[in-house]
Amino acid sequence: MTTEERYFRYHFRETLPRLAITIVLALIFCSDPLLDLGVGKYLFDFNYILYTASMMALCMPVFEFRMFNNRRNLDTWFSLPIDRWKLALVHLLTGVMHIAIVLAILFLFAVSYVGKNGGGAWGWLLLYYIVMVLLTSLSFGFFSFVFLQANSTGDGCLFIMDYAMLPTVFEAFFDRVSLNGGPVILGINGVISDVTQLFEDRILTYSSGGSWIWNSALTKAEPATFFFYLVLDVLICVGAIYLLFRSFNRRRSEKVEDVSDSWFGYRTLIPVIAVAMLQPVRNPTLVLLRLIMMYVAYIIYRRGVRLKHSDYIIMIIYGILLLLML
Amino acid sequence: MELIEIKNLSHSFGSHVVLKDLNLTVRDNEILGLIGVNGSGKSTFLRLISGVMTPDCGEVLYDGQSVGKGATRRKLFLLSDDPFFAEGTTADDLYALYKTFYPEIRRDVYDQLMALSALPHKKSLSKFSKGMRRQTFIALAFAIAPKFILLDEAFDGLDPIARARFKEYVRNAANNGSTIIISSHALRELEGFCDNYLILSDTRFASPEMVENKVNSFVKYQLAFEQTPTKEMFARLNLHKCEIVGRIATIIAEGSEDKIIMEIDALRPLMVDRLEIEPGEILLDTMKELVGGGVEL
Repeated sequence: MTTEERYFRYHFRETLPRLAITIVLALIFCSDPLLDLGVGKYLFDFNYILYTASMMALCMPVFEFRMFNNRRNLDTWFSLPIDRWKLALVHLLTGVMHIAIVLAILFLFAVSYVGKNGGGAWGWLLLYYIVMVLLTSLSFGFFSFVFLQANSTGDGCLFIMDYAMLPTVFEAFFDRVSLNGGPVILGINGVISDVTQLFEDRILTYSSGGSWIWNSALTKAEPATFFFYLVLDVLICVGAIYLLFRSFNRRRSEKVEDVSDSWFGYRTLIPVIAVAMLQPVRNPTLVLLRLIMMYVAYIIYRRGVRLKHSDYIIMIIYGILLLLML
Repeated sequence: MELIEIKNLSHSFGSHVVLKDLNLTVRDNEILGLIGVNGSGKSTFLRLISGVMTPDCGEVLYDGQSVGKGATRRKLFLLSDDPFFAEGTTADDLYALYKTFYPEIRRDVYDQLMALSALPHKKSLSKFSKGMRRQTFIALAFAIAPKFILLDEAFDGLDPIARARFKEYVRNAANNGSTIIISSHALRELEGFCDNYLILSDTRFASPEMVENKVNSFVKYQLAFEQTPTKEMFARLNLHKCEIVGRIATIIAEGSEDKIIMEIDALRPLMVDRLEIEPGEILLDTMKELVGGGVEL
């Protein structure tokens, strides 16, 4: 058995209590997903599975990788006889295993409920499970990369939150710049949501013997647009996972617990989110408020009130943009 | 051939150069003492040569293989100045973790070393004193018995008995084929214990020539006098040591040997015998002068 195989076994065993807690919480959360359609048919609300999967993709990177955001820990982990990328791989695979196990339990839960309708959708359910595990794992990989761009756990959590809301912010931004709605930009969690919707419609249609009316938002969307963004988001996740291994190999332990100055972090996020949230303002007080918010964001970034010249230059440019919109 | 080769190693933290162009070859089965004041870069040096940090430039080879490879690190163990353990970790948990990476770790040796220090296996390490934690990691290191052992400020927190025992382990490990690099800012801990010493000062190692020149500037004489001599008689010499037993004086002085002999002649001794100096006898002063202030004695 190789070192990484031994470590995977060790680490997975160590994380079993966490897995057990996740399963219990997921089951409590999904305890009442069944709606009686009143004609002897039932509706299983797949959003419970979707929310659980999304939460796991967002939270698991913190549990799996926070140990690498502590300088003291790295003295041990990086001197151990295992290649760094394999170390990261073990933690990623452990996360994927957790996702697969938790979703499998919820999937069995769904099977037992859908079975009340007399079955008929087992193939769709199995396919849904496989696709959900794949997409949630990709999402987990993406957010793991995002988390590891930070040099501290606190910054990592903020980055995850920022990246989770970034697609929504952009969608709103493009809605504003193009009055006919603009393009639909789906984050990976958005894709998971739409995929759930897609499967839910099919599973319910088949298992309800047609009594369930297919009413998905996807039916109204262009399939080509959906698949374009599905492929795009999958590619982004695969790219992020590749970058995760690359950056983990080059992780400078002396920078851990220091300011998080990755280009994928505050440095880019603060101006990008600020610009994405740009909208015409009529009140000068709002301009001041926006600038104060940006200043606070930079204080969090720099961990102090002493900012760099570049930060002030960005704030001045942003202020001018806002004033032009008055 | 089993050795550590360090070639052109340099590292900076931003604009602050910590180590610059270091070259070193550590011989097989050697105990090498690394000495420097706090902040001189000893810990950074050990982190670089253990693969924890990646140097800005240069390379570190163990038996010709880069430390960047996981397989190479199988041959080494780093005991950092404040080693990691997760909350609630017991000594047995720690053993299980290290067994994952070092399957050859010997449970009997670990248990024996833990028992010698009366360390509990099932108690959380967070409830251990610093010295007890250190002894637990020392037990791990010697139970693993890797080819290369890197110890950062290894004496910190150890009581005198534990220190003596630790030195014995280190010496036994070297005798059994391990090569050990041990850092300390306390010279007295390393004096007379290591086979060789490295002085880290101002981003570089003090060169062996510098150390040798300094050591060669001392001479040791044994002198016999008609009357019992006093230390005041040697006031004109730059004395490093002076021991008087009856009418015999043994002195170590620094300076030009010709001048020292002239001064000794003027004292009219009955007998003059030149002795060899043991490195440990003058190590402290030599090191202190080369490293500068801030070294604990």
